[in-house]
Amino acid sequence: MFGRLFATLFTRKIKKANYVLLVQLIAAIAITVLSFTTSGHVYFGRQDLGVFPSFFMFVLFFSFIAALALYCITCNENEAINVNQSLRLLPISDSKYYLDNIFTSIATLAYFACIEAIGIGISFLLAFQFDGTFHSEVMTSYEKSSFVFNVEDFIVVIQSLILLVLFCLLFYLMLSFLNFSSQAIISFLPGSIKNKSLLGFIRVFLVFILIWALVKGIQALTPIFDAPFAVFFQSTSSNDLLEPISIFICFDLLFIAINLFLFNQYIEPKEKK
Amino acid sequence: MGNLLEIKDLTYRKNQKTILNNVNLTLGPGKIVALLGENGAGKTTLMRIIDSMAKNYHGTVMVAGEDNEVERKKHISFTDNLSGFSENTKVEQISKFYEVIYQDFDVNEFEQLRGFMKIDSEIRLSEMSKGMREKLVIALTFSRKVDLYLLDEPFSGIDAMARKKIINSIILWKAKESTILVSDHFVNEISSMLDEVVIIRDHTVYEHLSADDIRAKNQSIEEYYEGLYQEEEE
Repeated sequence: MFGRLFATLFTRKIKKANYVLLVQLIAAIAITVLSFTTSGHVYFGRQDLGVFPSFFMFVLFFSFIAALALYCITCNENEAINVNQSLRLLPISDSKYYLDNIFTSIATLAYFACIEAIGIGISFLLAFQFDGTFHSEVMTSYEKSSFVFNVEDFIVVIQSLILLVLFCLLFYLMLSFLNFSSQAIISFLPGSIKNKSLLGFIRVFLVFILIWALVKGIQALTPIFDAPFAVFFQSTSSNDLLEPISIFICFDLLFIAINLFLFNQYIEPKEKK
Repeated sequence: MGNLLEIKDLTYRKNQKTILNNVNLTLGPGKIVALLGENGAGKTTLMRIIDSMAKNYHGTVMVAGEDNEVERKKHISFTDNLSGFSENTKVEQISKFYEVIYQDFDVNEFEQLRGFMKIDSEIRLSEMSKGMREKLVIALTFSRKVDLYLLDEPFSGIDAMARKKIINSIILWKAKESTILVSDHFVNEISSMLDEVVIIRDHTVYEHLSADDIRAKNQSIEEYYEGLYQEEEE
């Protein structure tokens, strides 16, 4: 069931990622066409860019906005799926369900990053192939940089990617934590509070208190998590990121444990008639 | 075979309010049971607890001898509100989802029920009326081959003629050993198919009677049910 639910949620989430990619592509084409039909020029600094380099630049620019948009969409989707009755009826434990949900979002981000990389690569190749000025500029910059990609750089890139994934995961988990814990506290309040605005206000107030507690908790826990790893990882250029990676893993695991407890105990699917 | 559903000392509180208190209920296999009670009596909550949707209850709930929540869900088909699907989803896609996710989902049975309910497979949820949606939910629920069907007010939006047709056919859609627990306000319409009646009142099981016992007293189930509340008013 874990695999089947994973495939179902992943299909559902990549559909949204595809929409974001489509909007990004349309926006990049539209703004390139508009720039050339209205002013006839696109400037980057003092550089007058051709059509293909402009398109490449816009694709690159919109990729950051698209990534942020998709991240926000998946955050919202995660929390909606957590309380979705149609899906919670499936014969799977709540823990596996929650993990399926969070990990499909991470998989969706990975899928999105791959498609983005391909898209940026294609638009770069188009500019490189069909724009002589851009081609020579790139070649000159490359020759000047004397850049040599070695194994150590490769390790740093991989570690950075791992760190990014762990950071994205931690943010998803913290968001769930705030949502679950405030919902759990609300479920203990007297049922006589029926005013939705008042309940909303109480929830926002609780979220602020929880954020404050979270910040204090992270500040207190970081040196505790850091201490054992600091001994192991002596600073060299290739293992600079191992320490933060280890700390992030600790926090991710901690929040997974807390969230699973809260999800199992207090988070009921929404009853919609 | 023993009892299909066994609920012992079930208590559920939410927001400092007791929704269900000390509920004890036992249902055997192959029965059609009405779950009756006023609005807010706790009928839906009881069904949600049986199907592991509601959390933090005290007591024991066993379905087909299983008290583990995941195992329980495997034996139950619950009328879903289809909230998991976007309004753009076609009936065909929902059927596909059920086929992939539920191993006990019978596609041929669904196609037959879909035909019976006159639901087009190409129609989207957004294009369906409340009654059509409920027909779809009933078709999906009965296309799963399970031991216990939980029907939570399944007919409220369906027109009288179709409702009658569906109620008369329900008995044909379930396996002989399967049990149906149905909550509905149209007591007179479902009464002919009932084997037992469970009344939820004052947050607990107030009565659990055989439908034949009620009929033996020359009373219709509706009269009996209404009588309970008339006594209170007097």
